[in-house]
Amino acid sequence: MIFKFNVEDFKASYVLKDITKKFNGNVVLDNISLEMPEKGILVISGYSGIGKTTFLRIMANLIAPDSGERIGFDNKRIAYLFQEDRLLPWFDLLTNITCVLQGEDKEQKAKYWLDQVGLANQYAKYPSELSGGMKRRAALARMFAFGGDLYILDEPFKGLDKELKDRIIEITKNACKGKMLVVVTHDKQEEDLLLK
Amino acid sequence: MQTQLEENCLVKIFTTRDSKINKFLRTVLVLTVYFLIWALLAGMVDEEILIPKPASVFKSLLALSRTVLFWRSILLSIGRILIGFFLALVVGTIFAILTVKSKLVMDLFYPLISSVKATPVASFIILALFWLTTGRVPIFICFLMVLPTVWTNIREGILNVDEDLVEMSRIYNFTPYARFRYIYVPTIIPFFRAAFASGLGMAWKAGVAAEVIGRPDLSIGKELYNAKIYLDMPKMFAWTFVVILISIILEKLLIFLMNHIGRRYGGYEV
Repeated sequence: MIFKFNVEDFKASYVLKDITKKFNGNVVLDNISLEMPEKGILVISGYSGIGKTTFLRIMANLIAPDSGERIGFDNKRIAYLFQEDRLLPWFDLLTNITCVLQGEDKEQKAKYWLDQVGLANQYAKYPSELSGGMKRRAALARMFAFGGDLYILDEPFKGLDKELKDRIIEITKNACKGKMLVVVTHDKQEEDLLLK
Repeated sequence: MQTQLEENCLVKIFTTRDSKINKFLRTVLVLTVYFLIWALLAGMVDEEILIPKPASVFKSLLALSRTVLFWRSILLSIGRILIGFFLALVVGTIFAILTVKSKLVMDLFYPLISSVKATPVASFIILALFWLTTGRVPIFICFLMVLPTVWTNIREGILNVDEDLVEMSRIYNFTPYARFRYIYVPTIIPFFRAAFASGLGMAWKAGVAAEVIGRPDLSIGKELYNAKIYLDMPKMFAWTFVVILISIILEKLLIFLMNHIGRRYGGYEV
């Protein structure tokens, strides 16, 4: 697993210490440690099957490690983008976003983020009516609208064409400015754009 | 001049209207065929006690519909059956949740449901007549016959909930209500609808059978039984016709209700 940072001030705020995880006796993560500052960008890359997603899931507290520690994550709001879109198939795009929001301005906020990712005027569409790239952007809009102190994105730009990808990467970087952004990617170009 | 869009819309409207007209015509045709077969058979047999003629049945139905007893019997029968049916919906749903949550409850509940499914309805009716007043027997029987169907369907629905979406709801801080509203309800609604559709027909048939054996006052079952005792075949056919008609109307009404709930709460994928 390769970790590449783009940070201004490296003062460790989030720490993962000696993380080990096994599935059915197979060691997926073996004593992995990582320190991250409060804000910046971290790109994680590496071959398929080396445990990148498992590492992210432990980071987001979706699964517990067999051993090791998570320090500094308590009381932090984590916005997570799954490898799959995980949109609610029964509801339109607007509801898919508003359902993760609170407050009176949630519809406005949802529309803002849908517009940002290029899904203006698609509010009433259902996930089954969208292309793979549109679904991915909707999932991203949901995550941005939810917001967080720590953004964890698992292969966020897959299925997007080159032009769109560049724009969405810029939007992602702007949306997560001042926060910690962790991205798993296999794509060298995405990596370069993120770390630029 | 018509635009292409307008033309397309018109074609769609006409196609929909045509298919509705076609469906209606086909239904009328099928009913006419069966009516003619009935009339032909009744004419050939020429014995009212075996197969009454359509005209006699219609006359009998008309005479019945002019009595208060007819309407009160229908209303009370529907009431009893619906009480049993909705009780089964509530209890079946509660047990579906409990049996998904607890293996122990599942182990305790499963043999009971299997026994209910395997036992003939008549055995339960006779047993229930010892325990309950005749007016309550149809309620109990409907409840008992519908319960396994509701339980099986709702349990299946709960087991079908997408764990990935539940995980997504955890990461996005859904409240328990939001999780129920946005993930559980839409997943379960199609299963609930299936339970509704098959359960209602079952409830209606079992309920009328319980009324025929138990003969509570002011019930369709008692009227059917009396018609049989007095060998009044036109009346028996008339009541049977009423039973079929109410069953169809109730099913359509409740399915309409379920579809409305489905649309309102997102039970169907577009």
